[in-house]
Amino acid sequence: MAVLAACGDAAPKASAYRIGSLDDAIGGPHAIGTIGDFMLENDQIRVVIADTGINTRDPSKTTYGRVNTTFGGTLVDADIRRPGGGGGRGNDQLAELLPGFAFSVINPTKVEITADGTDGKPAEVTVYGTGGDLLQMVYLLNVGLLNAVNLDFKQTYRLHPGQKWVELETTIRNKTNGAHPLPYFQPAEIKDLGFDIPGLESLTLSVPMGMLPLLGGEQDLFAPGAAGFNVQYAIEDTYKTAGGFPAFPGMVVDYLASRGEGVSYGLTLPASPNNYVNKYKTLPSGAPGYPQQDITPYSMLLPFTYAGVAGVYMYAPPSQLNAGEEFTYVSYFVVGDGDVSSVLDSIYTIRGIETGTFGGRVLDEHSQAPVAGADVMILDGQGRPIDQIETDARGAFLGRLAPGDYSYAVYADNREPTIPASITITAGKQTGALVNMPSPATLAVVVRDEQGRSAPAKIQLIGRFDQANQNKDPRTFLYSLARGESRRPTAFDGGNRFVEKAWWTKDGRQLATVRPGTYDLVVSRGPEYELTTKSIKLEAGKLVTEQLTLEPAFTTPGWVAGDFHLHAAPSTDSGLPIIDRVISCAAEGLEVAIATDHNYITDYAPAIAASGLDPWLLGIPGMELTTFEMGHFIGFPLKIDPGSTRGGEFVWHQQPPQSLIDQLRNLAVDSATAIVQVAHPRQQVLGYFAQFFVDDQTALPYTPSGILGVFAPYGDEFSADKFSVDFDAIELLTGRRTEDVHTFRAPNPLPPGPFPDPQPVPGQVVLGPDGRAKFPGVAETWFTMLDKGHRATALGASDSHSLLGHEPGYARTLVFVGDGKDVPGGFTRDDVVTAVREHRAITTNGPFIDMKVGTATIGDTVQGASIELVIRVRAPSWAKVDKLTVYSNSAIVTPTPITIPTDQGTDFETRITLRPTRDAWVVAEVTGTSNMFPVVSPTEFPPLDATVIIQALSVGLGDGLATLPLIASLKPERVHISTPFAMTNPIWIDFDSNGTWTPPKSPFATRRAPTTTTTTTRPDVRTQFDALPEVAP
Amino acid sequence: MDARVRGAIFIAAVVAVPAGALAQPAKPGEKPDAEAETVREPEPGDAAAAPAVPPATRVPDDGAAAAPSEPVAPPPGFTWEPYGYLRLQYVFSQNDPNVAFVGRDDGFELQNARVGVRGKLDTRAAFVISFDGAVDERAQINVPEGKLRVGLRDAYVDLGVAGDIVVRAGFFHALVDPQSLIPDTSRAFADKPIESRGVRATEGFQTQGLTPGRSLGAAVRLDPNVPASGVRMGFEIAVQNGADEYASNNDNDKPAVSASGLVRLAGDSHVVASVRYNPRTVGDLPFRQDETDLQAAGGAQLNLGPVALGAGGVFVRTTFSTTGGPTQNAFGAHAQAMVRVGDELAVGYRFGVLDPSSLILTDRVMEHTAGAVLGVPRYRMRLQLQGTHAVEQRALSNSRIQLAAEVSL
Repeated sequence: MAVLAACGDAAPKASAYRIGSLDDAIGGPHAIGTIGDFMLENDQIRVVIADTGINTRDPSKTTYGRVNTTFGGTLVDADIRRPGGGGGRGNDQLAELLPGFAFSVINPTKVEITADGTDGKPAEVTVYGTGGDLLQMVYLLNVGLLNAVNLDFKQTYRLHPGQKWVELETTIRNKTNGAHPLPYFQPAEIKDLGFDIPGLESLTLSVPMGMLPLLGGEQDLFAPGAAGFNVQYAIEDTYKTAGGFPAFPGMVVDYLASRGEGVSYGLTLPASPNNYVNKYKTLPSGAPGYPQQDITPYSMLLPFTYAGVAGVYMYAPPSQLNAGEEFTYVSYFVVGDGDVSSVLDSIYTIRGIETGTFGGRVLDEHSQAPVAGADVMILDGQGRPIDQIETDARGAFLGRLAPGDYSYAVYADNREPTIPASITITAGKQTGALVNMPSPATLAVVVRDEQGRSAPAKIQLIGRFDQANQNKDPRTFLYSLARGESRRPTAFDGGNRFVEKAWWTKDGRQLATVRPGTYDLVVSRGPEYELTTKSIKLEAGKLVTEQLTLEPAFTTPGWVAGDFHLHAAPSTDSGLPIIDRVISCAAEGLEVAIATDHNYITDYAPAIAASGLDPWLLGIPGMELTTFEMGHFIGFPLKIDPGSTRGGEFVWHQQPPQSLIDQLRNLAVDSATAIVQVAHPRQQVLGYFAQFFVDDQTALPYTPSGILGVFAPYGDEFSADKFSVDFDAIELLTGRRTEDVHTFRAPNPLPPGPFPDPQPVPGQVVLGPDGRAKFPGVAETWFTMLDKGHRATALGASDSHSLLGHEPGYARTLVFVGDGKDVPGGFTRDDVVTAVREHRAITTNGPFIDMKVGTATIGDTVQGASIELVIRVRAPSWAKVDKLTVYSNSAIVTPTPITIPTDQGTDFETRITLRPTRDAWVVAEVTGTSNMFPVVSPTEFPPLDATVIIQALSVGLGDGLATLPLIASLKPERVHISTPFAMTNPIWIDFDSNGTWTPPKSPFATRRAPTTTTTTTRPDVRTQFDALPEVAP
Repeated sequence: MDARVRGAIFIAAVVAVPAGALAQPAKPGEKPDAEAETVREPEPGDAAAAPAVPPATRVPDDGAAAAPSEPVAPPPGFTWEPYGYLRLQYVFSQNDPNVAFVGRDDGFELQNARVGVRGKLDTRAAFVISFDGAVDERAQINVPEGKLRVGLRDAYVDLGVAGDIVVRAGFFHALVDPQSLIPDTSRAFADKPIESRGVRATEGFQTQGLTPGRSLGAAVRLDPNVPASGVRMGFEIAVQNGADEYASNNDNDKPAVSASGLVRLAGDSHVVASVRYNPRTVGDLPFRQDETDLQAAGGAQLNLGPVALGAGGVFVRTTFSTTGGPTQNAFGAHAQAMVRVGDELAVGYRFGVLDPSSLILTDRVMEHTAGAVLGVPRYRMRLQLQGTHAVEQRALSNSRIQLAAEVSL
């Protein structure tokens, strides 16, 4: 024993090696590191750096886009070293981390181990490369600011023994023989390049450099100060006070961190004379660059955050790099164990700041049981969060803090927060506290359906806030996003209702602890059921038990409800476990759930089976093939390749649309019958039609001019002739975005101006400078396609990435699978696919439209010059409809729109006689104005989308970008309550009964755009397995 | 407390029951040891309880060897015997109207089903291995559903080193819990005092007892046999892992150290006092927290003719060196009296108090327990009936009645 004691503990080491087996990889919800990538690990953490993805022997097998962004050479996985975490059983939640130079990144040519750590010194992996565009949309800006073609790039990932952070050393080198100014061009020169923005020539520009962290959907981003966990909205708030260029707009933060389940991440940098924020904190005019923001020697700038992607600008390079000259900057990527505090502890160490500790325990004030998973929020003198410490299973917490006076309050989702209490931290000293948290109430609910079964159901607690707070922003009184509280959606209708809690249950049973209060207990199960409501009072420490019964609203014989666009944990921007996803689908009354994770083929079947939901829900494997700028395409049913880290292999970068569509079909179970669906076609940046500038009147792309052209992707794959209509379905309604369904018309009366030319006319389509609809609708584009004989099936889907506030099934698609087959287990995947191919589908977020001509129904073709449409509309009382519109050949059929009497809002029937003058199609649409809360949450805040990046750029440019549709002053309202909507697919009318349906407009060219790149061919392990010789036992 | 429980307590305390006895106190020369149910000798002449092997430890050497009750010196060599007991109880408990997990599980409980073997090699060494067949395992704190599982109870060897002094090594219960001197099969009440037992799940808000459970380690100990008269002194110095009970290894690099002094008195009475220092490390990686318990405990059992008096107390001071949280003091104590009525019946009363944390003002629990125990020697059986009125600062309604039956091998 004495000998052992004398030996002491061995010094930790770091090591770098190339992953040779998947057992060496990290594993976890977002792990993509695989064989051939590079592992950096020490006794504290493990990270993976992806290989380049370039296949030099066979360039066609280059896997650009294997990682979440375009290129390889990035840090893709990170986890703490954890017990039982070997063999790929870790907990990586990081999507990706890569260096960013304005809007350029490194396109790596080589990744190598430059120090393996066997000497006890730091281990290193170094990436060498050239410049690459992260987004083509800002190509001109990239050239103007950086002109990366003249530069070499190097990124070294360095891990010291015993440390919980990776040192990131980034170098750019001027590889030319001449000087390389930064910015490369002056604003006037950039304007000459074509970046023609009014006012640009008067600006002074800067070249921010830093990192682009994609921390993953499971991670909640945290920035100390005004933001706390409310980073997105806090950044947008800073746009309003931006000082202007050369100080890029955005939020100044002392460090960046996150909160996650068992792992967290952070970014910081050392004090440096090249610190970007400090360099531009005072503008050339003497005005502050970042007014009203706290600036420290370690400040970084967050210009935007979107879907888990954040820009972090850290350094300003010298104004010029001479021939061969380098500029190097250092930053640190910290891996914590789940809370902000574990990240901040390392940051204090990096900075060499003396600290004291604050620790203690959080107990329930009534039971004295430990309160696990509570957030101890450390607040500064202004009550702003500067740290978050999570309690462990024993209610214990501990964090380091710089000396000073603070206060703290403890938050837990099911309890009232504690009142802030003061603490003083002294360097080298401990400060402790025992916190008694208010007790929650306990609620036990059992829901049965009309047959007495324990059926899937959604259970909600609806509270009412103080009337005095009506019409106030709920973030200011109902919950604090900054302090990490969950959002509690309000009815958003001038009333005071809000969702305190919602549970999606697989069997209608729920036992939960919640904040005491008086609530309406509401149970539901999708549009085919009414709301069952009961008022209850929940008191601290007490139990309330309730049993409620679901009441059917209507039935849809032969039809089943499906959500054809769903995300879960395999998606980079979703943290929802698959099991929760499938349960939520069943609880919302869905019978079909198609997994459509971003660039990941997911199969819900195992989770459905594990949760016992087989009788209720059919899962279909699919994928949302996600490009940065080409739009998103969904394919199903897909086969899963278990040998792939993504469920299948495909290439999305720099591929024309036809290639993307072909790849999806090649991944399908049956390429001949597979469905390819255009996701959110009109969504800016993410929508196929939006990115190709598809005109709603021609359904063809056009070349944008003016400012639209400046921000149009430049690649050859985006040329108009590459546009392909080889898809089978279009999302008519995605989520709550009813404003995207129809082409935007100016409200009547107009809101206060001024408006850019042309002057909008109340009630008329708002036009852009080119005379085209400024905000073209999906429906009008689809109508035009129908007119041209392109029979894409219109679908409704939720695009849900989470639960509360983004409920699955709203919107949804009803598909007709056959009489008598809409029972548990009565229909198959093929029935669903066939229904979609035969257009037997209804897009809806609540109402059901039964449209018939005689015995013919939606998707059928009828013959005759005079036909009688019989339309019956059913809806639950929480989604009453009040208007019916019938369209035929892109025109509204008279006598519609019909105003539906109030007392028939849940059951309305009418007959309309059509006398077409040629072959025609006819669809019916119903809408309502009632608020579908609490079944469907409203859109209370502007939804996240990539336009925030452009929006950030527009700050400081005055009105220069005002003509961009996405930041126009007159545009579709993005925040609104959720209202009922449904639209059928067509019944086709063969006017002349000649047995052929002739489109009313000239059809699309039958040409299929050539495929420039085929799917990477890799062996299918199932085939290989099947080919193995059978071995006798 | 509802009328049903009040009535039951009254019945338990007052109503006459058939004549019986408390568990018999050890006689001079017997080994009323900490694990008395495992090593205590049967009474000579009791054929049904006749031991298969002699006592595992030495007989007194102070002249009591000549006493009629002294066993005959065993032949040399290795000997062993099985032993064990089974305890079944039926529990009626009040349903607290506000707390879902309290009291809603009236029914049968298998308190224990223990089997084991004990053996010896001459007088140089002895061992005990036993298992509990009815360990109540809860997935988490305060859940109403538990699972029965089999668990290791004792696994240790004693090596004689000098006189009666032995070195004990293995998995054992140190003397620092005064209740370790009271065999389960001799306990007057159906459960241990609250400072040792804590509050079980569904009895109230689940709380651990303050005394340490079994642990891996080693001890030097002298536990003298019961003197025929006067006193005999004993001690134990133990070094144990100090991790949670049933932990397979230590929780840190530091052991728990305890020292106990024991006085045995004639009539199977005893007085014990202990101190224990236990630097613990708890929590999941990477957030492991050092906490230190400094514990003092004492207990006494005095058998005075038909009256048996018992008392015990534990005080634990816990400091939180990692988190720096405020120091916590905890204490628990009990006092009890049993009166023998006839040969086979005894009735008694016990008061217990447990305050798990000085930092919390609402967690004190007091118990008033009235009980009766009836011996049925013919079946090696004891029957126990008791009612407990719980007085909680949390104002729970959780009084209870227990009816227990115990059969020994």
